[in-house]
Amino acid sequence: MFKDLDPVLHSQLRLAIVSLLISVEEAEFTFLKEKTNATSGNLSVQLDKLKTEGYIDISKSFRNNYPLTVCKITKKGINAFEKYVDSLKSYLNPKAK
Amino acid sequence: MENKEQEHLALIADMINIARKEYSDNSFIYLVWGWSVCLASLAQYVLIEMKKEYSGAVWLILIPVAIFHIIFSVRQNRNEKVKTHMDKILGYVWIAVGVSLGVVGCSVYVMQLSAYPVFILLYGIGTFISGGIMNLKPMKIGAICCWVIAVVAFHVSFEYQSLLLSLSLILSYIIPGHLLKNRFRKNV
Repeated sequence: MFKDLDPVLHSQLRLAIVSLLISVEEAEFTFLKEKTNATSGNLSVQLDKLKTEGYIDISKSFRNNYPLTVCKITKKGINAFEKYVDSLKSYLNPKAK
Repeated sequence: MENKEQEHLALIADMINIARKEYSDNSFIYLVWGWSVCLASLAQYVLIEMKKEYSGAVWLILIPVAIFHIIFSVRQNRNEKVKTHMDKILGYVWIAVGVSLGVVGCSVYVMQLSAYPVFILLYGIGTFISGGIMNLKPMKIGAICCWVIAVVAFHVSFEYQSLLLSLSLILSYIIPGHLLKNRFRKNV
């Protein structure tokens, strides 16, 4: 049986963000922008969407008078990511499931 | 449809690979501690050979080194764009080793044996785990050398233990520290 793919993670940029955040403790906005090659505007929108879904935590502060945005994946985000990878596998190899 | 799923799996693998290659350049700290402890133990050996009193005073040099380390680490952490799981684990390992070194160092006057072989053993533990996590073979070899040196150190007199301590630092901190620095430069 095919499992439903989580629509939140089924966007390329949001999936890239979550894949990066699952591999680290926490990451700054500039790091995510650099690694995903996304524009600041698009990245901000997708981060907000992930935050609204409860998949990531975002903390905002200042460093040397510049705004600093730090993102961290939540337990809900980790579970959703694991479920998403499982679903992807079931699509690619349906007999295994 | 299947192509998209494959693309997404490839994207996940790419991102995880990118993040895995991220780690802080700790080589400077390895070199600072490696050189300062190595030179201090060599200086102590020379002072003992010259029959000077208070040869142990050379270790006071480690107080400014420790203060420098704390200031350097706070500044480095503040400027890191990303904190990896590896950085966190390494941090905990070295806090554990540092506290253990401190406990042994503070108990040296009540211990019936010299603390240096125990120091070498603890260096071995810290560098072996670090070498394993960072996948740096020379550091793992350096750690194994530390353990062999520690066995020898338990059986020789105090002045030779100073020499063995500096040898263990060269093998487990200084050589791997320079290799780590080169590896980081290549990655940047």
